[in-house]
Amino acid sequence: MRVDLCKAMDPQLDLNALIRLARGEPQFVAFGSANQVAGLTYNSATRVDFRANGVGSQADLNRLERAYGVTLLLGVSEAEIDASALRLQAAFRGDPFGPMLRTQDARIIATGFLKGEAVATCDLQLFKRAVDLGVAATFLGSGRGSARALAYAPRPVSIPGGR
Amino acid sequence: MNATLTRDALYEGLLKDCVREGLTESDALLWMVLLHTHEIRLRPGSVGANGSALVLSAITQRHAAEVVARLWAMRNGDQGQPAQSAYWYGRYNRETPFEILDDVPDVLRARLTELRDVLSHDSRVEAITPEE
Repeated sequence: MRVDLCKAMDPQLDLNALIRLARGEPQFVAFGSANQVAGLTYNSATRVDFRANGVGSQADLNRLERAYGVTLLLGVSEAEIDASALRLQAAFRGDPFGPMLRTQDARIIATGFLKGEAVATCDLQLFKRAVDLGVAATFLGSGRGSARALAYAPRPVSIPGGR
Repeated sequence: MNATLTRDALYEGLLKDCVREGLTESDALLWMVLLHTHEIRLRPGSVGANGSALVLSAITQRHAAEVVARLWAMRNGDQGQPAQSAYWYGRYNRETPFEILDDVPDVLRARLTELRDVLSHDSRVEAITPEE
């Protein structure tokens, strides 16, 4: 699992990556610029959360599209996201106190799961859960967190109904 | 009671006993850092009926934001943006985007350690350790 922010890839961005790209953090600007051609996306659940409670605005999303080509992921319905999110959450219910997946987290990973595409997140814990689910994931971070992500040994979980 | 409710009730119970008066915004963010980067080992028999030790895994940014939003609502009132998890999720990523303890700067580490020690003194808690 590479954690190279300048390697071309076309992942779906988690909300945290959108926030940091919108803030213009140099590391994320470099990532956005390097991967603009490949095509960066966010899903509908991320869009809702981005526009909620002052996190960001539609104008910010429009600006990201103009600057880095970040667009809304199409072709997956809300019903499909909801259904897949429930299955992904269920995969972690074997240990009631172990790693778990909240609804909003599951809705982020769901589209990566459905489309077989990578999800890029700055959340090391969410990265681990995506990897455990067998979903392609990239940790967007720096410092020792990146080394931890690279070294992570997956703990595979079983998704009800299979992949 | 399902697993999610059990886990949420545990976090709620543990943190509200640590934060008996008003919660400051800076402490709220550090509670998020703690929950996001540490696992909490509970004493055998302190929770559940089978007497086994339980380890609460480190939680995601969104989950930590939900926990802190509920704590804020309990201690500071449920009005306004800080009672919403999206508010804390946004602030976390803008102000304290730390994924492991080693990345927390010294200027914040001292207070984070104080909060960890307060939680460690809860009779239900056996240890709080950085997640590997």
